[in-house]
Amino acid sequence: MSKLDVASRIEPKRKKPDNIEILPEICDLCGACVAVCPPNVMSLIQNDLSIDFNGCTYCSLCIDICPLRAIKGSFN
Amino acid sequence: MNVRTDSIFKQNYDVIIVGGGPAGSTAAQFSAKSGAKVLLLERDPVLGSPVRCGEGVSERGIKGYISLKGPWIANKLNSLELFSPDNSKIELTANLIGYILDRSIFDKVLGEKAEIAGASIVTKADVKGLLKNNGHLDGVLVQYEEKEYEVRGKIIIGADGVESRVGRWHGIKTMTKMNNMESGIQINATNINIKRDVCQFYFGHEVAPGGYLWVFPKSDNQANIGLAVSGNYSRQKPAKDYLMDFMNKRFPHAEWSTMVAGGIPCNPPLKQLTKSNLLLAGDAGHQVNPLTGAGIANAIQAGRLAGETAGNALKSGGSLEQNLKIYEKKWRRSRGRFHKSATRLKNAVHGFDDDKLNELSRMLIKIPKNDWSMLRIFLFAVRKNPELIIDCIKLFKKF
Ligand SMILES: Cc1cc2nc3c(=O)[nH]c(=O)nc-3n(C[C@H](O)[C@H](O)[C@H](O)COP(=O)(O)OP(=O)(O)OC[C@H]3O[C@@H](n4cnc5c(N)ncnc54)[C@H](O)[C@@H]3O)c2cc1C
Ligand code: SF4
Ligand code: SF4
Repeated sequence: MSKLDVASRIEPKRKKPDNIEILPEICDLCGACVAVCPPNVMSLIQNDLSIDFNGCTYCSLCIDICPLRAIKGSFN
Repeated sequence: MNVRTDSIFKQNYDVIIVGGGPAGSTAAQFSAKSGAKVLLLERDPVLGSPVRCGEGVSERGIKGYISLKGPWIANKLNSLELFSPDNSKIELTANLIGYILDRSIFDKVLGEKAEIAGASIVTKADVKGLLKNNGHLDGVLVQYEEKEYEVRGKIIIGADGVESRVGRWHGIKTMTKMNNMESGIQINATNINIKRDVCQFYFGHEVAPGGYLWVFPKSDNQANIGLAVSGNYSRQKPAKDYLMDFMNKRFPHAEWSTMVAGGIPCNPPLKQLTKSNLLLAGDAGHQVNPLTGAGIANAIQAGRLAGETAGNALKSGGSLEQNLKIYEKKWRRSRGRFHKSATRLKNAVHGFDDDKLNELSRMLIKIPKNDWSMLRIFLFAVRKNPELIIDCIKLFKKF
């Protein structure tokens, strides 16, 4: 296992953001975030990416995978 | 409202296919050829656009599915260069390394082949859900323009690419874990100094940790330049920033008109490719080569198998569910072992730090240029047994 792998594993757990926001002017509608969202609450319909916040766990994986950082997390 | 589309949605189908990429169009073509009444639904307005793909394929990958001459072949490659983290270069030359496609044409032509075989294709059609009935699927729920439609079909093929939501809606675990997802980005660069027939790959934690960067030329002065970073690393720095850093360093005068994002699901084989009357094919069925991220040829081959199986399942009587399982059996027989070993090799290589990658490349350099037989033996050995890489390194050190 590489040093980097070890580093990424022992990194402290991040605090979950209070808000998650999609930045439509940056999003390219590629679907990468949809594929990793654990509760499957993201959808790309009619050229629009949306999150069903009823099921969102604020895990931030969608933010982490986005090649363009088109999703933003923020804290209250 | 388009009257023709309205009436298309009112009919009952043998096979409904979700997604019009290489997997979906090929599945549509082959199920229609075996006599099924087929509807393919694609969300984008035209097949093949936007292109979220490096467009590289081997000859073997597409031979037999499309002519090797035509406007869908943008370029031919005779040579490839691999750059290790310390920037040493390994060159391999052959008569033909592969092709760079123009997928905006390629995907369209695959769609036309499906239509010629008798399939109907509707674009701008978003599949939003499945119509379920006692664990069995009755069809799909479609959003077209402002309206929703329930479209009925006996067999559903999920060819919906990386998102693979059709599978999840039916209870198949198609979510891609972060360590298997590659976060990808690509530009169509011009004003760069490259050789038309040479593709390049760059490796290392600085360029693309847990992935690699590709330069796939389309002409003397134009190339798809992109990279993919493992989801393990994309949290610290997004793929786009890696690409911009590389461009500033290596091609500071480059220009580009488009930048596309894309996820490449580099998963182990999916545990379930069929469930009741649903089949999954292509990226949706996690059939991308997990080591290289190449998925065009795999999508076409799986699409054909899924399409043929669906067509035959309807003709051959007996339990539809059992007949459809043949798809999964055949896929595992032809691709399962390879896919498993490619997964192991990927995991081994991802665990390498730059020192080890440099060492590996020093070892590969020792393979005489053009000596494909030796390279094959090496690749064969490590594919079967990734741990062997370390032994190989030790062995080569003695030369
Ligand atoms: C940056 C990047 C570079 C790549 N480079 C290469 C390469 O050089 N060589 C290679 O072999 N592979 C490459 N790949 C992988 C390759 O692009 C895919 O494996 C291939 O496109 C898979 O084909 P598919 O038919 O399964 O899915 P796709 O081509 O993704 O097609 C799926 C289709 O389904 C549609 N769809 C999705 N959901 C719905 C819905 N709910 N309703 C209706 N339609 C829907 C989508 O719009 C899409 O058109 C690359 C991928 C990326 C992201
Ligand atoms: S990964 Fe980023 S660019 Fe792609 S659909 Fe999600 S938010 Fe948009
Ligand atoms: S934060 Fe997690 S649960 Fe919420 S949309 Fe993003 S990936 Fe899905």
